[in-house]
Amino acid sequence: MTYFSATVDDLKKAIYKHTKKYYPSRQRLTLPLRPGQDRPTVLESGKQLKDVFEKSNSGEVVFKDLGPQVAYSTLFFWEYVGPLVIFPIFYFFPVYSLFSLPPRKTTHPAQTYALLYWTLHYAKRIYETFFIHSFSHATSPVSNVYRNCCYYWSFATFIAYYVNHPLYTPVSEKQMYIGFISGLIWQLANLYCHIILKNLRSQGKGGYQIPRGFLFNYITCANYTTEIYQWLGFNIATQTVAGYSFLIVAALIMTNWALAKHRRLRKLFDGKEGRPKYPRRWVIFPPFL
Amino acid sequence: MALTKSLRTLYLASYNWILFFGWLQTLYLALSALKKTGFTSVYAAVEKPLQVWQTSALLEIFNGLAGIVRSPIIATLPQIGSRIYITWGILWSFPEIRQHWLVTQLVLSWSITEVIRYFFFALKETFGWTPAFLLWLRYSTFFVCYPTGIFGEAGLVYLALPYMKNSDIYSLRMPNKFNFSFDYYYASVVTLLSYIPGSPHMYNYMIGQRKKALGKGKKKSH
Repeated sequence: MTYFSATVDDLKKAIYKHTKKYYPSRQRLTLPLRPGQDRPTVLESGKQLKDVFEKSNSGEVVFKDLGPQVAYSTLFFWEYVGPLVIFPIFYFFPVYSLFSLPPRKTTHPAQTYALLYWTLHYAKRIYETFFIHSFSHATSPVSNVYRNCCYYWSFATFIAYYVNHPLYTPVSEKQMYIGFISGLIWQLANLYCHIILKNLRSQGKGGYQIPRGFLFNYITCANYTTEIYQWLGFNIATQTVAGYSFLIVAALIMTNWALAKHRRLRKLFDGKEGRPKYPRRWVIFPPFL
Repeated sequence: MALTKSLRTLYLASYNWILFFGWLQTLYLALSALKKTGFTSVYAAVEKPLQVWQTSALLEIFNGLAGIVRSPIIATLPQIGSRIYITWGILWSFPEIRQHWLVTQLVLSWSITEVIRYFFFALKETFGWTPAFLLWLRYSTFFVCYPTGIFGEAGLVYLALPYMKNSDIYSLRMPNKFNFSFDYYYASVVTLLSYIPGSPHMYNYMIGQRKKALGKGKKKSH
């Protein structure tokens, strides 16, 4: 390795060699904050050091320890395995005796379909985690595992408790079918969106691309849109306050993400200096947003 | 715009003065009843003013949301939430516990704290200034009033529990078409348990606020 072609990754490896505690994914290296900047320039993976320090006099680097890291796939797996396991527990096992309730006398078709739908959903998510998604940052802080698992597992318990309840009241058969079938269609659409996003990543080397094809031609975050509509289908079919509250919270979180992504893409693809201009699109919910 | 600024000041000054006098009234009624007939009569003497002035604090959530004041609603929401819960969900809902001495402890802790707090803000909005002694009071009385107030709140919830269980009040049972249930008794137990981590957290938060508010004076003298 000649020093002229050394990259940020080589620097991180050298730091790691010096202090075993700080493996590369735990390091965040930035240039010192210049006056007028509100965020320091991050030393990005793959960049050559000579380009990074082009305008710098001192060669000074600011080091931040991001804390213990886990792979994104690990994070997602633990988030999703909870709901996958919890829902069937409430369906199959006599947990309601813990609440001084008798076991289910009759199982409504809606409850069985809900079990199938729910487990299919989370199995799909785990499948996508390992075989579809291509992650931009390799890792996430370990604290996110606890926080995200709390979110997913608590809501899963909340919903599973009410859907599998011995005194559960189903909706009309027609409404149930409309809910589950439309939900399935949206799940398929969501899977296709994820495949499109994955292919975007494999074309360009890192960085952002303008998503195209299928619903992305009209909506920036069509993957979130399909995910939310899929939950809507589930709730139309099962009708619980628990399920609907989960839908609302998830929709709020995803809308937040969608707004940020849309803003980022529009800022990046401004049509100047040969860059394409980001086309006019809905953020997440046509015709409102 | 100067007009919106003066409207804001007028609104906040009025609000804080009204609540200052409101809580002063509550404190006075509590102390008179205590002196004249003893602690069992305190609730009856303060009920209506307490309900009015405590419920008015809901405006402070609106003020935070609308950006009229800078306080983060994540801090004010649990505070006001617990006050409303105790005032209406415990004291008004369960007459059986109103004669307990904890009610007196609670009312005194709340009204002393609020009189100081609203006076502080009223002066700040009206004159743009508060005496250093008032600042000190605001950030020091909590050392006593928080523990006594919290103990009063938790104690009264605990005393109300058996009456909740028997009456089945504010609860929703299954089956229903929303497939939802709510048990006021269990929700109150959970609330009571939340006081265990919640109280030290609030207390430490106030200590932090105190350092920030009183520490400024110290820094200037260097």
